[in-house]
Amino acid sequence: MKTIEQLETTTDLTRKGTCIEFFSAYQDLDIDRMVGLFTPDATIDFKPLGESGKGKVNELGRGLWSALIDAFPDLDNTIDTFDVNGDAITCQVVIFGTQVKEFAGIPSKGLKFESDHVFVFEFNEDDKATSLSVDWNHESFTRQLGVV
Amino acid sequence: MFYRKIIPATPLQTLVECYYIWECNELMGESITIESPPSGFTSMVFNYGDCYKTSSTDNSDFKSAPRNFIAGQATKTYKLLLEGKIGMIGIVFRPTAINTLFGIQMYELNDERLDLSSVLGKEIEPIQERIIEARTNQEKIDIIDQFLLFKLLNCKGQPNHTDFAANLIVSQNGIINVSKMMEELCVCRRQLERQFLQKVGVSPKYYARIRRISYLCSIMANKRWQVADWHDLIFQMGYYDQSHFIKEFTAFTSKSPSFYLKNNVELSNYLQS
Repeated sequence: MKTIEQLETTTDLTRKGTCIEFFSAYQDLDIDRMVGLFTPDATIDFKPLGESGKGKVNELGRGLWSALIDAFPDLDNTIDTFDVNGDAITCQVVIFGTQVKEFAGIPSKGLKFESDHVFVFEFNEDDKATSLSVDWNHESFTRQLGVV
Repeated sequence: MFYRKIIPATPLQTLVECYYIWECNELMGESITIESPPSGFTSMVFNYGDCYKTSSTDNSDFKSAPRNFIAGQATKTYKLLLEGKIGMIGIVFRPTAINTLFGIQMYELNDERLDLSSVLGKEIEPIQERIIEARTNQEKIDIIDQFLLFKLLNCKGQPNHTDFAANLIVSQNGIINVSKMMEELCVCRRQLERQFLQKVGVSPKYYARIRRISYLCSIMANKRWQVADWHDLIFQMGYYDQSHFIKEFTAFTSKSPSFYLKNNVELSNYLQS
């Protein structure tokens, strides 16, 4: 925790600040900025997708977010709160958007979704994000998009 | 056990909900655990009794709290483990007040109790010393009143729609349609949410949820945890149905409502009604 004097003079991000910057970049649909907050070999785990949801932030993460943004061009988020546990920060976030193209085999019916997500960022000693896991209720997500 | 809430000086009442003084000369060699649901308020505590421990986890993993600390929004029930002599004076801030007076990014303080000196620097040290030396509770209150009035006079920021929205959520006890509130205030959702993180620590909707649980728990405490009509209470609190209510209550308190009624160890249990 920095003192007020430090906060006023420093430009580096705290760990929570890094999380906020990630979701701010997400709102701007700026994948380079999102990925740039992680170490080059950082890993990602989209939990509901099982083994196929595991990979590198710069590869799998970039690819999935690109597809998501392409299918939901008004994709947006709200950070509800943070929880710090050791080197991990858990963010409760609401993700929402409107589908305009097919996504992961789900044809577009022009429907909106709003889904509670849990993002867990892990940091190294240099306060760089080294991994991210993302969890959500996939059944609810697909149901909102019209999958019966 | 002595516990009293005190109203602050008039100019501070938009920022400070109350002060409290909590004292007990000796706990007869036993330790007591006190739990508190999230209140929606933040605080600053000056401890002149024995130090105590706190836990925000389900498994009562207690850690020593700094002697004098600043605390941000609690997003879950927390517990205090007290031994020996209790002696403290606390400032209960309204949701945006710490950011207004001290410029702290409130998301950094969620569920944290941080040492006052390390957060506020040297300006707080003489205040801490004077509180310890004060001979009466009124002297302690006067010291805090003067300190906060000085901060208020020197504060650069002006209240804006974020302060208004946060205080509106408080006054409505969290029973409010936040999307509708944003429309009526003609504010940009993203901007309000960003400022809420900075000034309150959580999103507006999440803050309303915290505030509603806080209000519900205070109602139950006032009824000495005797709830005659659950359906009426759930309806009054604006929950869709019983299932929604139970899910929400458990998320913030880690207890089912019925378990909570029978087994809570809130401070009110130790005070005369």
